[in-house]
Amino acid sequence: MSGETGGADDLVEAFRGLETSPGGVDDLRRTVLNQREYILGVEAELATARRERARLEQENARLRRALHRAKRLPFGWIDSVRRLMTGLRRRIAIIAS
Amino acid sequence: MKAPLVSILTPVYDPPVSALQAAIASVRSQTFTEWELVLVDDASRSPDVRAALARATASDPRIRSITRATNGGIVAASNDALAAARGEFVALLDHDDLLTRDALASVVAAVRREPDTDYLYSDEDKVDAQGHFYDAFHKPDWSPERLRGQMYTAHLSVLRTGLVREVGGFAAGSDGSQDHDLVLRVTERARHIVHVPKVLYHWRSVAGSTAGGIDAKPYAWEAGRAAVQRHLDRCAIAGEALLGPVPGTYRVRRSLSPETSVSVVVPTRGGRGRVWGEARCFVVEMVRSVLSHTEHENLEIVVVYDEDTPASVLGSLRTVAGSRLTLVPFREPFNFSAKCNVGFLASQGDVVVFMNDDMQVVTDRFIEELVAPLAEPGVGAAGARLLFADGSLQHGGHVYAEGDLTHAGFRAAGDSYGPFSAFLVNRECSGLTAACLAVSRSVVDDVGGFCEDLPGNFNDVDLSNKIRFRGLRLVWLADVTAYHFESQTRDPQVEPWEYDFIMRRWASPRRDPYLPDEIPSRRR
Repeated sequence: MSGETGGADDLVEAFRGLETSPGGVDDLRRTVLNQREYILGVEAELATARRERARLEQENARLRRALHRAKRLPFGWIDSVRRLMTGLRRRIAIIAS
Repeated sequence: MKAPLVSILTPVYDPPVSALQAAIASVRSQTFTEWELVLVDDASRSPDVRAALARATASDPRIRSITRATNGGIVAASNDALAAARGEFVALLDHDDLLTRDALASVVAAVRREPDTDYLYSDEDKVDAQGHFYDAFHKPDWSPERLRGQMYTAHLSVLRTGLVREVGGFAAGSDGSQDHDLVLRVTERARHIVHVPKVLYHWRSVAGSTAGGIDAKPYAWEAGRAAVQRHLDRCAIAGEALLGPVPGTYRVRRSLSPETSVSVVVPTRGGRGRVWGEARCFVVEMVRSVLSHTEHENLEIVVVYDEDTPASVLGSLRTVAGSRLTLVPFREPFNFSAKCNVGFLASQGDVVVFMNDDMQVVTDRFIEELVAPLAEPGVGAAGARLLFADGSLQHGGHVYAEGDLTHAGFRAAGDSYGPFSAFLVNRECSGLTAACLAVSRSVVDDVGGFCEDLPGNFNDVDLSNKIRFRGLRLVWLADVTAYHFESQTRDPQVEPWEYDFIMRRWASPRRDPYLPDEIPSRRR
């Protein structure tokens, strides 16, 4: 039993079961243990999801800042850099020769 | 927030002048400017050293030099420096070592993030005579158990000045291990301790220095042992500090209260196999070895057995364990977690030791040594050093890093030191194998035992994470040893859904906080 449904109803049901089940108390103790495990597992998954959300938000903010900086660069700046590099290479070749 | 003043304390006694000048230069080149350097000349004989100190004080108003009339040793000189310090924090710098340019800036940034920090330490490396940096030590995050086993925090150490004064400064008689002794006392009272995971300190390796070899200063080893013993006494930990297997390491032998009731829970199906050329019934020999390696009277053995377990095996167990034995039948399909939970619920002990049936205990007082650390507040579980039948290491704690979950030191030589002696000393770890795991009853109850949705693999990873999630530490014990004839009794194959389950619950691990240098090589 994973404890996915409401606790109180389950417990009432489990106590009813005690009347007829020979291993009743042991079964109930295991159910309680498993429910506690399940609850902690859900807590852990929630904490993991929250950490992941915080990480993604940070990453998103970083990308937005980068985008903002990129927008301030003049249009076609990559081509300008390429032209500059080609010019530099040509000058170096001339000097080397 | 105003930047705190950091006082760098440097006792000086006849270092090579060039090394002293390099140390001072490394302070002057700090990108963070709110520092003072307090140099205490412990009556150096060399006029060149005295001249170098005079030049240093003349060159920068932030540098002060105090000259002792007589040589008093490193403790006396350090205490003089402490008395003269005006900073909110003191940083310890040896007279021939180097700080990185960003050392103080990194430390102060960490303090700004966590203003109640009382102690910080960083990663470090060594520098040789040619100025080459090597042997970087990427340290574990705060690990009090490891600090008892070795002075792992060492350099760079930065401590809140008020707290250092409150604990009485450097202790007389601790020469050679004065930093270890001081850090033990400060961390006992510190509100917050921070590890800065960055090399901020270059430790000079020269003949005769501790960096040059851990046996270069034998008196320091004994002073360290005495410091750990005093620490145990102050913390009311019933135990004895002993010299460790190699210089610079220490062992803590704790005492277990006879009143602590212990239940060893063993799931089994009564399997047989050959070990060292001889046939054996695993569970019978495992129980026999536990009982022959303990003097603890308050002990029960709870064996959870599948229905197809041969009656002869149960009979042998009754013969070996007598009235200490509780036999619990298990009538469900294979589920290791469920079997452990059923055994736990049938047990009575204050402490439960989960053990696989395919083991053989090596260490005397095995139960006592394994269980005793749980008496310390904050310790959630303890585990042993496990070896394969061929003597190689099977389990040196778990390592969770780079999306992988593995045993530290898996298949390494049984006597290997591990990274920075990590396999020689007791220490905190990310996880412990359920093959041999001591946990308090209250902790098992609190975390709901093992997850029965994980019948085969990763149930111990999950349990370890749950215990840490509760803010408790897991301690791996280097001097508590057992053989684990792993996977002779079941298929170790990991299913993808098991991996997905654990990742969904705990996320994919990136850097292991306790063994950051240990690169996972095998998914367990």
